[in-house]
Amino acid sequence: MTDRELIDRFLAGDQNAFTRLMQAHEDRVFGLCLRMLRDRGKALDATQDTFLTLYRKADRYHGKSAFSTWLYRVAINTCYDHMRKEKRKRADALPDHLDPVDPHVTDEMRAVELRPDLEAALATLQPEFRSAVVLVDMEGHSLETAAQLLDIPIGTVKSRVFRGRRNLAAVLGNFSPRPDTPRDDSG
Amino acid sequence: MTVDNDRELPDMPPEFADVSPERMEVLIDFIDGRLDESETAIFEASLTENERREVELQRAVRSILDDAPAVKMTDIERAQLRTAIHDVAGTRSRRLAGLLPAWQGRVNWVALGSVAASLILVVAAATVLSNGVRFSDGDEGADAIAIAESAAPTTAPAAASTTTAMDTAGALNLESLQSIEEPAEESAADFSTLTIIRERDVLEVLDETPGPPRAYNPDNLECRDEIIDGEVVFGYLGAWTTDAGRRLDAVLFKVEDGRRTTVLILDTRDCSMVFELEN
Repeated sequence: MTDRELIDRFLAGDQNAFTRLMQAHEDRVFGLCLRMLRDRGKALDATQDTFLTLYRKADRYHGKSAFSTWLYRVAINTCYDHMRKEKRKRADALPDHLDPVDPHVTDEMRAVELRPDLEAALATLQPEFRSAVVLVDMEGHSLETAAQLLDIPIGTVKSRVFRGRRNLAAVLGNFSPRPDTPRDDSG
Repeated sequence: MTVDNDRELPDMPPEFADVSPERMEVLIDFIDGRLDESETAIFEASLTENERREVELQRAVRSILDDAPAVKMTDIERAQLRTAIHDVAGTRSRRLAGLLPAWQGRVNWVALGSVAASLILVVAAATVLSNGVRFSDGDEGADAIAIAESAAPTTAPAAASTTTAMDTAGALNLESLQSIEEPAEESAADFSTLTIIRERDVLEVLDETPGPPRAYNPDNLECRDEIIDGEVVFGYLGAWTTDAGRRLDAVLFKVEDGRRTTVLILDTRDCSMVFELEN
């Protein structure tokens, strides 16, 4: 059964259809939120909010784009909301340091975390760069889909991915100082 | 390099300040293999040394990102998510949001425990819901509530001018209200001006709410950004008391999303939700 059919069934009152939609997309929504928010608890909150939005606003999906595109856009906007709230609460910008590793984290959790250095590097990216890099390079979305999800032109997606990778490279390079190498800055 | 012991990033080329956006677009298409064969050959021949280094760097970063493991929820997280969603989905009428286990990260459990089922509201809540509300001009006076009972709202100097909106039998008596201002400081006397409104009363008031009460811009209220879906038709900041007599400064929002109306009450200390009611 397609997502569209499941949406139609849900709108007709079939709660099981909603469950199936959630089961089909929950991991990817959570993964997207985790990579955006860098915290499992916050990612779970954002995932909940995303599916609650789906539950309450499913009638606003008109089938003009893939359902997954619509849902992931909801997820991205939800993550942005969470990031704004977090920023306001902590009165500082996006974290420029790694939170201490939770010693109680289970092996199961650790297994699905990003490598700490990559995770920390992603966290240093501005949200707009991070979302573009996550969508295109980590989630495997096409430029067109990423543009739809972020509601920006394709050219802007390209630019953000380009600059995001560049910034990421700079940060990743800083995690482990490399031997001094001559650098040609002459252009 | 801690990213991958077997894979080091190339040296970082200088910034591309002199590269036009158009050139950058083609460059990233080249990097990611979106040019056709002839375009690739032409473009490759035109690359400068710095651009070649940039290509190498970008491809290395992309490869690292591409190799990142897929993220999945743990079984516990999955259970939390489904419990929360299903609980909400199965409760279309009303609920105390904090009773859902997976809301733990956002719910103020202390406040919730105190509020319990017999939440006590400032009488203005009932008035706001039933008669509409007007704040002082400029909106920054969100903490100074003036009920728009008459054409010219008045702002009383303190809660002392507030009159009880509910008679002894619990019926709402909204006409007696003129104005209310949040108590300037917490004291036992302040609470003498409060009126108890229980859940059923909130439901009744919801049904009586007149249409569009956009008498002010609710976006200026604290915790407004917690409302991520639906239209906030109004809200207000008020002082509430709990069963235990503890003061709870909270914002109340009425939210409509076309199919249902929700009243949310959020603790201003951390914007945690202490009460949610749907009809």
